[in-house]
Amino acid sequence: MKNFTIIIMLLVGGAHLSLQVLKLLPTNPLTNYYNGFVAKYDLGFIPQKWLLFAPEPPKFSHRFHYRCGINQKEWSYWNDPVEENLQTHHRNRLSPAQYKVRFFKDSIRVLNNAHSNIGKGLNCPKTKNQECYKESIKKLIDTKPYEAMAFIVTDLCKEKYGEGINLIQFRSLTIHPVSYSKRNDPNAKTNVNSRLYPVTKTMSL
Amino acid sequence: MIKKYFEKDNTFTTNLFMTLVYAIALIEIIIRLPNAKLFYGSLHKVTEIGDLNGVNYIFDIFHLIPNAYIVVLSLYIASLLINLTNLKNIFSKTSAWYLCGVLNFYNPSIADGGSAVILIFMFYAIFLNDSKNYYLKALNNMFLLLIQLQVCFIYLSAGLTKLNGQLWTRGVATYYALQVDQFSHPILQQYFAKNAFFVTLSSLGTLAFQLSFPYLIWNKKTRPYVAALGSLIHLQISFGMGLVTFGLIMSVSYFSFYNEEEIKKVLNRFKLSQVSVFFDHECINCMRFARLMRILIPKKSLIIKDANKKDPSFLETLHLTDGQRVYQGFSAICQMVYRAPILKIASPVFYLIEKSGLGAYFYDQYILKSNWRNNCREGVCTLNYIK
Repeated sequence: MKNFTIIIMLLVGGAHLSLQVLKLLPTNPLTNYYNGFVAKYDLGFIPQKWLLFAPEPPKFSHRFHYRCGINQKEWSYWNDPVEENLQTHHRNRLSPAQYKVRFFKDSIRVLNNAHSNIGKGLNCPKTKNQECYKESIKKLIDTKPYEAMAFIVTDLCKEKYGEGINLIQFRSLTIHPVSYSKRNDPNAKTNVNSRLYPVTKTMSL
Repeated sequence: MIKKYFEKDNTFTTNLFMTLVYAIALIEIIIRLPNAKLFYGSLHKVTEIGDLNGVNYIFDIFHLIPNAYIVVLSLYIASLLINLTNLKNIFSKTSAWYLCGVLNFYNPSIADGGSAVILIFMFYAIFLNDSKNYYLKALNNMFLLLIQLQVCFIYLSAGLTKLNGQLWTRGVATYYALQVDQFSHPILQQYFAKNAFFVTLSSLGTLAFQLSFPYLIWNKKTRPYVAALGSLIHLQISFGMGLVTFGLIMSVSYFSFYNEEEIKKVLNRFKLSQVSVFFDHECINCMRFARLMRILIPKKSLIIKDANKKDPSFLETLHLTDGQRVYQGFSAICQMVYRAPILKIASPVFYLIEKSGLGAYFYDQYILKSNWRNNCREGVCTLNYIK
């Protein structure tokens, strides 16, 4: 009975491990053969993905600025919600600010990705095109990421300027650092791409 | 051999491992608590939710019960606290794993690799137990083995992916990682990011470490070095890059590879047992160092004695004894570092330098042969500055 138990355990453990290995293997000529049953087995309990622990370091990072307005007449300066939290995170690695930095940066990243995907769907050219931009924004404002971002900025505005705010606007900044080969070049500068999102009414639940 | 493995008593290892995993999960959630309303308070304010693969929908309870975050967080913290005591059971462990999954699924923006590893370990931990029953003990050992292999897969898959990329193999990945303000620190950016030596060594070193880990960790002789080096890398990730839980959970994962005897041996190394150290009272620099140690190390842990009064052979090099063993030179310095509370964080570095033999080499080259103390004959040295 004891031997039988051990054999069963080895079979179960071995099957689990084999499926983990197949899941973690990079795409190969046999992937199509096993992908179906591996995906069915991957119930989400073991959320390790092939790229989870080994990303190529990002060659750019995201931030956003927001401003708050009253009836299109009065607008605040552009505020950076990340900077203050980032400084706290640098001073104290155990501070709650680290998650706020992640939350804000990831939120704008998701929104930018959603916008880019809409642009791709519309076959927008890579160069700036006003018509395409308007069309993609029109589609974007109905999406979940835009709604969520508008909620986040509404909260930030109300926290900073009070309940009287009724308009918000935000812009994303994609920051490309100086490449490694130019790191000691005094003339090399960080490249920043900005994406302006439209003026939106404050959100309420 | 297989039968013997399943009969082995690994409860000390699994209990220690579980305690550390649940402790890190608790630290993670406590750090998130002040902003809990922002992160979990409203589904409308989250730009992205987790993948709905497989049966992931079981984690999607916030859609069914909106504004349940206070209840979920309270239950999660309660489960973690129970799991840190002897009261832990299969229900508290299942509940901790499930609620951890719910929180990760709901707001993946704030989760990192550490959150994913915690969730994986919590799933395996459900089956860990300290029962004396043969079958349950076998189950405990099998899941311990699965944890160990999962750690190896993490490194192997990470190393192989890095090998397929361009930045790691070209030795510039660390530079780009340190350019992302969120995963860097102004000091690292200013002093290390542009240093070609540091960037290349850290990039290629990480790659070599990740690819060799799955093989070297199984060898008893190489295991301490791999674990010490891995802990150094991960503590740097925790406090240099700011990915606190990821660094901590990966460091903790190494405990799964050690049995009770080995863990106690390592812990005893850092135990604050009292030691006597013998300094040459006629050597001014030696006594300066002794006074510094006097300040850094509690009196109950260190007694400073005059080497001249003990044994002439003790004058040749620094000697330290805990009553059972005598440590010399760099090993004696390490023993003092391990006992200095303020230097505790540097202990793994000193351990690694000592074990690699580098410490003894530098001690011989630069301290014993220095100008402080030379012309030593039969243990008695003439000091240069009082010639």
